[in-house]
Amino acid sequence: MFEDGATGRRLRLIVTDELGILRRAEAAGRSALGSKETFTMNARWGQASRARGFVKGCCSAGQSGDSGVVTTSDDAPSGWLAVARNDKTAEVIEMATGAAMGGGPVDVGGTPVAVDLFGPGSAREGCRLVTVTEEGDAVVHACGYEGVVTGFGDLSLGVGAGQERIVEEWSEESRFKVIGNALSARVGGGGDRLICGGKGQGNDVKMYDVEEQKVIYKSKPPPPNWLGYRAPPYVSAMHFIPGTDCREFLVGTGEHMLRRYDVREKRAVMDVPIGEWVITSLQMNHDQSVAYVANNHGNLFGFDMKTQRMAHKFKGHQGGIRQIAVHPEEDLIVSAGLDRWLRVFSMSTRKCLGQVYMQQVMCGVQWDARSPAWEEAFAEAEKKAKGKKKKKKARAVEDADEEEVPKKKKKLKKSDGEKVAKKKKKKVRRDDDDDDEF
Amino acid sequence: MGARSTEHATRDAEWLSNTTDGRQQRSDSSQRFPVNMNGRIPNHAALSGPGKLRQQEKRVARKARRIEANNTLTPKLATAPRQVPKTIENQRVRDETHVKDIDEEVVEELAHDEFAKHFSDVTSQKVMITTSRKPSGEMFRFLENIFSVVPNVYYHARRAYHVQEVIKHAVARGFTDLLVFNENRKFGRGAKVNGLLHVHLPVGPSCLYRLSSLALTKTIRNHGRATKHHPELILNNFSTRLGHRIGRMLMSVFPQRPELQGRRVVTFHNQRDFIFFRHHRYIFELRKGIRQYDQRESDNSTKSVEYAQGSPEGRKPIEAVARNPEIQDAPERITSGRSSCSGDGSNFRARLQELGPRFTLKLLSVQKGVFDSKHGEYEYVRCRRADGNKLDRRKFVL
Repeated sequence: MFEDGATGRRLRLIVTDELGILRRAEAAGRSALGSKETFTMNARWGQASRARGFVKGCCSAGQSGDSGVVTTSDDAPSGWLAVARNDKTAEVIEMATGAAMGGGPVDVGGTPVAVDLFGPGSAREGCRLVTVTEEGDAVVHACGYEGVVTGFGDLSLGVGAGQERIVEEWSEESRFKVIGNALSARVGGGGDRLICGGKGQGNDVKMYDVEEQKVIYKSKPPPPNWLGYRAPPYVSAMHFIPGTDCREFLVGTGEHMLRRYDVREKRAVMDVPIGEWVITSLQMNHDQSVAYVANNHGNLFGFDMKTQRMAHKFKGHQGGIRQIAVHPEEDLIVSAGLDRWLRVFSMSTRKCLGQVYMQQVMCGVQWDARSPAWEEAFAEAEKKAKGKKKKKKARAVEDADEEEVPKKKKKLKKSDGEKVAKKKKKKVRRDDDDDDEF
Repeated sequence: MGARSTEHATRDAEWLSNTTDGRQQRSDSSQRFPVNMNGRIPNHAALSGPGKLRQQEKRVARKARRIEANNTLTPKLATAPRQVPKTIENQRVRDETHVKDIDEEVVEELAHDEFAKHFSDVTSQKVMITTSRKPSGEMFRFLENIFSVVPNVYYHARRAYHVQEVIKHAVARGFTDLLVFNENRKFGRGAKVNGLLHVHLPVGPSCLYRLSSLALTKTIRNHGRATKHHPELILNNFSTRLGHRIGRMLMSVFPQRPELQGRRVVTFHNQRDFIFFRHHRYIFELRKGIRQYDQRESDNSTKSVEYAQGSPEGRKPIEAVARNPEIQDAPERITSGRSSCSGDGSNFRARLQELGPRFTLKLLSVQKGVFDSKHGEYEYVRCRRADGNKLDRRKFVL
């Protein structure tokens, strides 16, 4: 268990919505959550457009084998978020600033159903962005990087860290057909293993080796029932079980079955009905004893993996849930969905510790779980950026006081000021390098 | 005349007999109550001790109240604030989902939702109506009423089609809304219309309502016959984000521009999450005893429209009027018409005639896309615990 207040970190959540707006909800810390402290929405990025809306459930802080988040070279969470949009693009976003990294969104040639990001901490060099589209294509984009990657943004530039760290733009590395009608997919094992499931026909689940673009595993369908009827595949949610080296994974279906697959077995090793509605999102707690199952009717269940029974429910949802996310260190789980309320629960007590109204229908949610050290560095950089702005303003005022110049001249002066600012930025950058020691 | 007088006579006789018997009764009562010298029973005689004290207290309080009431009638104290009774409505708990003012988020939603096309006049409504399987006679009598309310509506027999098949066909034929009315039993006697499934086409959302308290036009006293003009709409108390969505959905069943000369009003009144449907014709007519009137004033009044405070599209109809070249200066007229109606010096009064039918809707669920009971995504599912009104009666979702 986690002791309350053991980590004094702020709790940050990034939420995507249907209108293509990215929002951040924040709470001061875990200890006072639920009593004095609650979540508040404190930032939003992007402009409303349904055509550029985020795809439901396509919001991932990466999935690299054992840990649920993309790690940087110093094994800290990077704060990068892979998202997919309805205009057939995928992009990587810096969670602190909402800025797109690696030259903006990339075209993937179809409506994405799943997207995953692998940072430099993974097995292979560079960043990999793996997208699976509705038509069943897996697209891998790669992006080189330079220097020490900390996932920390230089605020003075007004962009995320990646902007200067990920120097190259995303380039398509490979593209291959994985399944007929893809409905859900996950990538694990440092970007090596891809599992995907579809609807209607074919195998329930397939596993691919991303590097060699080959099928490693195909599951057999579950046995027909006593009427001789076998429901067609309808795989709506997937999740790698951490710590199994990508051998085991969970699958939720549209026919409300929760399955556990082991690559060594052809058929599912566990096949249990849970709830009555389409399962939309799956997660597991830290010791993998409980699976969390969310469906599109507003139910969030805790499923005990040992007894294979529903252990508990999380109450309060008015509409369907689209994505749930477990905090990598605290005992917190968050749900986002169609009722526009973001709800944070304690996994141990099942109490709702905080809820915030996010104004629009949500599509996905992720924790921004960077360490307090990063927070300090971030706050410092923010201060510097602010101080600089103030100085700039002061200078402008001084100029105005000194002599009343015509507008054109003023502009010129401003540009001069900008040059000065740029010089300063360079200085700050050096400071950042110092900060990198954290 | 004769009959009446005899009646009086008998009544008198009864009274007389009562008085004669009365003496005996009085003697009976004297056994229980002390009688004073006049033969009258004192009021307080039955009580003594604490009861008597209580009675005296009450009397004092009553007197004080009377004095107070008299004081409030005097002009000095007449301005004292009047006490407002506590009701569930005016104590309603308001949370973040309530729309206080139309802010950026609401505007964005309205600009990008499924009804934006209807409200920007890009599409015009076309409604398909169907029933549950094996509809009864009662259902058809109800549908006749619905036909008098909703313009541009077409009936299609349900036969044995699934709703999803019906939706497919309706989309192919360019319908914008589908109304499926449900009955509690099939084909039988005493079948009652008890449900409504409203699907907005082609991409949803779809709402499921419980329908109750149905009164057909025929059963309404003094009902009128509806004309074929496009009705005006009144939506009351749809105050949350979900309420706005439902309100917009209901509005999209009707044409965007009302034909004001028809003086027809369709009302969706939300109270405690029940949506009351009413259908009226209004008229502004001369007060009794007034023969002559100003022609201009009458023009104003016939074109005046009532707008509900707080309704999501409260001011929309005014814009519609303003855009209509025939009655270009209508907004001014509306205000003047309203004042002439409500003001004390007005020669006009507004009258309503109900056209029917009337029924009540209760929202059960909202689905994101078109109706799919098995795999559809739910935006809202009625659950008294999650809605909060199981623990707090003053909480509502619409």
